[in-house]
Amino acid sequence: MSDSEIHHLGAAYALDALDDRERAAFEAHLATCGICRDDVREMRETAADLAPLTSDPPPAGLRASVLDEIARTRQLSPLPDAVVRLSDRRSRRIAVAMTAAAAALVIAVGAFVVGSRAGTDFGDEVAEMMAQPDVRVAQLDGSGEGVVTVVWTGDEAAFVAAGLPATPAGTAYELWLIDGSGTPRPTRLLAAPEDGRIEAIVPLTGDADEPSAWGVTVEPGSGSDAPTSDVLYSAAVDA
Amino acid sequence: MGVLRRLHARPDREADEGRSDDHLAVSMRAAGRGDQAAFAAVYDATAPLVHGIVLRVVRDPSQTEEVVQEVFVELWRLAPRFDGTRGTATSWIATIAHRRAVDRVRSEQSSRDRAERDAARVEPASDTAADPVLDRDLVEFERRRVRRALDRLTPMQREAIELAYFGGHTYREVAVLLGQPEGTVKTRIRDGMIRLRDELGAPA
Repeated sequence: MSDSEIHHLGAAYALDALDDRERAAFEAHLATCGICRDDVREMRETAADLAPLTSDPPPAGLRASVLDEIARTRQLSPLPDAVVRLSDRRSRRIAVAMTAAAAALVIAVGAFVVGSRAGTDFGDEVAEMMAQPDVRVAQLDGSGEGVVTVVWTGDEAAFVAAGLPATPAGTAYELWLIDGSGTPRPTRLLAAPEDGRIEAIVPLTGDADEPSAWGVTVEPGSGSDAPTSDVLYSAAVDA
Repeated sequence: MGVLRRLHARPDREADEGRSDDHLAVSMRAAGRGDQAAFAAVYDATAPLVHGIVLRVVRDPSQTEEVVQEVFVELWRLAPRFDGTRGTATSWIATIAHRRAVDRVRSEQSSRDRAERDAARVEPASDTAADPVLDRDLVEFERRRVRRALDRLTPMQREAIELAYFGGHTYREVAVLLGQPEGTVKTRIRDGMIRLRDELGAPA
């Protein structure tokens, strides 16, 4: 998918007509493209206009069942106003295997990362990683808002996030590499997001296994040896 | 800019629908503060909409019921994050309902299988007229308006959009179903949605 093509996916995205990989790439793009966010907003209104055509009351018993369940269900906390919201994140976890078919996503995500940061040290570093034959990309999903992407190759990873909520004072996000045995290994603490955005190069220790998954938690000041909060964003990695 | 265009382009509609959506947005915000009675009002106002979308995509009535329940529980969980400045409450709810329905059918079996199964029975556009009619004038009025707008699309645009939205298919699957190149289908969907937006924006 070329950089210009991705701008034309708003209508298909609003109709849920993209497959998982294209959706992930487009959502990464949305984090940085206000024009596409406006486009999606409009296209969603138009898609919702189609809904009255199928309007059909549910069975009467469903109401009590729904109201009973919500009475037992905790609500999410509201987001800080400053957060760039990408609502309606897909609930399903998105795992990206670096098969040939997924190469398009790497290129799309890479173009987004490099394109937006060309000329910076970070952008150059990621561009170099993208050129490696064993580069892999995972789009992390979570109940929180924002887009979190990890690009890794060999002993190095790049962490790119947009639209992340601020963490409480004295805490920061921490990226965990979950190894083959399911043990989370700390990688590094990520500085508090500015404008919801984090870009960091993460060294992976030499003895670390290939990740079976990535996870992000919120940890106090100096970081933790094992996660102390719920996993906010995660992605399984296909072997 | 999009929102401005919308407001200018559809004065009649905003006057009517704007009011009912305002009520819904108010209820949704109250629900976001934990008000269960307000959420019951949201349910009453939108259950036919949500159920209709999910049934159309999922088709199996008992699975539909499960998904509808999931959608409303999700709406309850997300209610504190509903932001009326980013779109109408109706589109927010319809978006979440449609995506849940699509997630259900896509996880159920491979999409390609579904595309092949459905290839034998592409539903004609006029099939939408066979849906059960609600006795609410406003809904019927709205349906007629949407159908008129759909009728102004080219047959390819209409079919592509209907297969995507009501069929829950990806544009790649739609391309298989219509025997057209993927790029063509992507363009038809985009052009059709823009046309639809403009048609629906015009005063009735």
